[in-house]
Amino acid sequence: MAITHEKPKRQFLSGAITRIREFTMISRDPVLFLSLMISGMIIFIFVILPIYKTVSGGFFTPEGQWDLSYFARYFDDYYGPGLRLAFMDTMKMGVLTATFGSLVGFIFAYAIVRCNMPGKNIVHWLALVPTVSPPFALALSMILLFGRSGLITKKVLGITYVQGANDIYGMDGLVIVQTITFFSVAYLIIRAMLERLNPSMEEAAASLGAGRWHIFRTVTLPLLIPGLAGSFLLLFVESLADLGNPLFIAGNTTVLSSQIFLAVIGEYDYQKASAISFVLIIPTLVLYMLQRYYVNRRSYISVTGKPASAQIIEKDPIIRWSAIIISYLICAFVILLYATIVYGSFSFSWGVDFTPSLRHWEHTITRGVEAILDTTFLSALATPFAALLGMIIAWLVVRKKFSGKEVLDFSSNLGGAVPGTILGIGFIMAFNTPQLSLAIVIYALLALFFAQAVGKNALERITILILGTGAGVLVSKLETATLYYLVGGIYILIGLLQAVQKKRFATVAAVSLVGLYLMSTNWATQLAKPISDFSRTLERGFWSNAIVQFSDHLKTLLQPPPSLMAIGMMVVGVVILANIQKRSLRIPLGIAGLLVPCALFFTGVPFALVGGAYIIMAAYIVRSLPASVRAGVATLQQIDPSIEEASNSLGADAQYTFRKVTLPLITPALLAGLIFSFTRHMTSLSAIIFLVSAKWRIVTASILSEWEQGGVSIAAAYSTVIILFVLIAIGVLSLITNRMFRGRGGVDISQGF
Amino acid sequence: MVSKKIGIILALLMVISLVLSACGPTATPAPAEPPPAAEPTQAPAQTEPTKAPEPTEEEMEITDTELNLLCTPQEQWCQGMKQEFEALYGITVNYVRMSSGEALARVLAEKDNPTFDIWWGGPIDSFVAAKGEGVLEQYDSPNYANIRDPEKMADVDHYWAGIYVGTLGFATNKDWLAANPGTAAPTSWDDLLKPEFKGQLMVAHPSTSGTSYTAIATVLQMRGEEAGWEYIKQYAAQMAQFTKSGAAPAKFVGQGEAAVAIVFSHDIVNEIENNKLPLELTFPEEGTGYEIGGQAILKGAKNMQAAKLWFDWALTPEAQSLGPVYAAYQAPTVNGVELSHPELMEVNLIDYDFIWAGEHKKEFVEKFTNEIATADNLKE
Repeated sequence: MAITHEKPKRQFLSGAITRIREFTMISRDPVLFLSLMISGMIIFIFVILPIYKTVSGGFFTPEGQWDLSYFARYFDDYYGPGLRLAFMDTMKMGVLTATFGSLVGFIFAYAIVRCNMPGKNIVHWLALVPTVSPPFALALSMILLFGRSGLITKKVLGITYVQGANDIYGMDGLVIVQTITFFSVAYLIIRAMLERLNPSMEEAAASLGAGRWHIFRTVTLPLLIPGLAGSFLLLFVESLADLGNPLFIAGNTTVLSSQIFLAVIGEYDYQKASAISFVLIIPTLVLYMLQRYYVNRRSYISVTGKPASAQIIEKDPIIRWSAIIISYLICAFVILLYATIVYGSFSFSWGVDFTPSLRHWEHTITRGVEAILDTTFLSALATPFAALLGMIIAWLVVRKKFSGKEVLDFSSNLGGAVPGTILGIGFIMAFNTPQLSLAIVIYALLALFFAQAVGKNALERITILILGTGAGVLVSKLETATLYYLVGGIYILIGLLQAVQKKRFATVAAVSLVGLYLMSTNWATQLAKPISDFSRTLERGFWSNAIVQFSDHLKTLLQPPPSLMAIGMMVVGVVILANIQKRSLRIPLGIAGLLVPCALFFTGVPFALVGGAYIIMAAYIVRSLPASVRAGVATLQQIDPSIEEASNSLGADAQYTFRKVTLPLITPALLAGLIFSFTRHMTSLSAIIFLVSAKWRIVTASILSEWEQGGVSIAAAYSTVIILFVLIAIGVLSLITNRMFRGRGGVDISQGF
Repeated sequence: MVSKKIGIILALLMVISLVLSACGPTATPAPAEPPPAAEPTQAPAQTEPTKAPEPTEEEMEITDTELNLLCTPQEQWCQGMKQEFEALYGITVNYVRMSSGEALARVLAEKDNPTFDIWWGGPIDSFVAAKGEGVLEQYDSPNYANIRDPEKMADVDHYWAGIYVGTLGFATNKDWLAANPGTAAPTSWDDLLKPEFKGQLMVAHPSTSGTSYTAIATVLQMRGEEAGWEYIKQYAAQMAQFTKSGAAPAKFVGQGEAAVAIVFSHDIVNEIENNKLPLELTFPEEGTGYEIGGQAILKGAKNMQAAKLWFDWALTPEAQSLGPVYAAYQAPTVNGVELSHPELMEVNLIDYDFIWAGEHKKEFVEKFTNEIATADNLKE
């Protein structure tokens, strides 16, 4: 008995020892160490924590008492029927959207890959258009066209709505809109599958005398099953997560995502919202994991590596032309829907008077300019961070081996996979009045990393840790202005010290700039004041509204929340101070380096981000991260690791190899990541709808508000602006990429969606 | 060489992202002329601006440069008032518009960390609820003296003040009436239950909209709770759809999405006059409810001075006469303003009990959401 007990214990011990050894090994590799630290920290704070807050919130009353009453409601007779109906409707919506979306995606893929379709490229791009538009744009134009007073229903067909007649509002309209919105994903997945399908199997079957239908049924289809299943599951997940379309077009059908939304904005009942979120997140996660770990694994079997050299071309004209014509019709429908949005923004009074008029654009531009500028600014500012972070995670996942890699990979995707409403509620719960313990835990982890990297032995590390933290906590009690002058001064001093040591000019300048940046927090208000004062001298309207935003943007750039700045300063500290040779300098500099982030961490209320710009950017980054990670992974997997190994064996260290070899190779993927991220940012609604504030208005949220308030035309005008901006951004970035990488082939934009 | 190239790329990208955000507005079609800022010159506030601030404040130096406004009425009015206030005091106003339920939820959620300074507009039952939760700031504005009926239109403890009054009415689509001979615009609450209006009524959801809650509370006050809920059940069964925002049904009905909307009459006037929608405005003869729109300063406001300036200003006849300029036809709460549409107030009003309505809001909305809006009869 004793022996059987001993064994697992020993295994556990040896496991722990391996982990510790591994940790020490990692900490010797500064690049790996730093990238792990940053990505792990960001994912923990902005993905895991908010989701945990939302999901656990359903089990506790606002006073913190354990309470299951909201779950029990699903089983009683009073609330039960309504709640169960909403759940079943949600599942029905998911199944229908996933089925039709995959079917349409399959037809498109088949027509493009196998049917030698005329105008292939245009059809390909048209199929991708729904991914770059705001999520509810199509619901909007469906109502404009087929609503009870729609252009087609009323003007063209002359149908007047009679009571009880089936109209566009409800489950059927919702499924149509979602199918068109999400089929692009299915198309891309199935197309990739179809292109890689080895034609020899079908040829073998044909030469053995099998009929076309028989081959399709017994060879082609089974080979495509993983792709079809994968797209079905992904579409299911996307459909459950969708908030915009159900809000617009679901009529009296209630689905879980809109129930969560109403619980928060209508009833101010976070416990209820959390409880419903829990009900929604379970099927989402199950399906997502199924897709990720079951279907994806299986799909490798049928992928032979390189695309097959020759594709089978569909010979049967009936099949060929029906696939082509269906694709054309759907493309025409997509064009019609988007043209309607633009037309809708110009019509005088939709449904009554269709004459063109600019009056909605006047409104949109005067009162919408703030929202448009804010959205573009925050999206653009968050874009490089999202793309860079995605690349770092992709690099860690593909190239490095460490325990917890799978967790990192999975949780980086989690933020995009869970419904945005759940994330948004979590952000409010986690960052409205955060507990100090959160800051302490994060600080402790970061400080340990810092001491490990800067100190050379245990004694030094402990000295730096204790004295640095102590001094930092003292400094954090200072007045804010003094604090920033002090921490900025420290960095300028470090810069001067490096100048004395005859370090490279670039290093000295960079360190001093960091110091200046820290100090500039104090000057931000003064720097921004001339701009806002100028805006106040102008006549009230478009220009005054627009210019005052730039002063806000400047302030935002210079005044990030201290707790986020602290994380950045910890990283900067490690980079600057990691390799100090002189022992007499190492300890004082280490203490000073730790003092800065520590002081920033504990000034004010750490992580009280709600109402600011940075929480919106964080939500953006979390939502777009999976796309840029996928783009990075796809690119890195194609690059032979032996190139990097060669660099290593020639004596380059990890950091040099990354900078000189890996980075140039993955730059196209980085640029692709930029495109996806910006698109996602501009079009996201569900995650940021609870985070908008008077200062930071987001266009997608304004569309929702204007839709009912100012009318469909203003909502259409806003949607047009977003689509236009996204297309411009894609155009500019693709142009740059193509110019720069002419020889090496451009970015495949489709790989990240 | 390669690293330099990457440096250049990244630098370029940064520049582009900056340029993109900077060039934003030029990319949109023709920046419109400055908004009809010229029009308000007819309003008294522009002709005699010295009257607006109280003498004591004129001596006081204005130090706040910004005001964060939580605005509940329609966007156009919010934007207009923002511009008027900015022109008068040189303070930049940031605002976001939310429906009143949404606004209340937000204010309560931000209890410990308020991002708004002042909350302007929306039925006062939200303000009564907010006062109960202790999120409002008490402020003795000198302009409380301007209020017509202080007993109804202002809080006894001066936590909130009324800024407009609106009556509940019915908007019926004229084209629908013409297409359905034998029908007439409803003139009583019972008319709404007529079989020809089945699936043809539209109202907002009371959880997000103060308008819709006012309608429910009116019925409950007129008929008592038992008969009232019985009525509401049938009333809800007539609905085509519940919208989020209170004024939306007038627009949808004007476009022919349904036949009758239950909306505040001033919103109906706006749709008729400015959007030329074919609507007929009627009132229930046995009595209709009304709203008083409120305003309040939030406890812990970061721009307290600016918030107080706004609070005082909003209670002046000058500010209240600006409504019609921005398509807001609500009646004022202060003396000395000429009514733009006196007919909206010359209807049979019930003695609406705002305190009772405010206190029971959570209970009634929950009952409505759980027993009525999810009832099976709505699904088909």
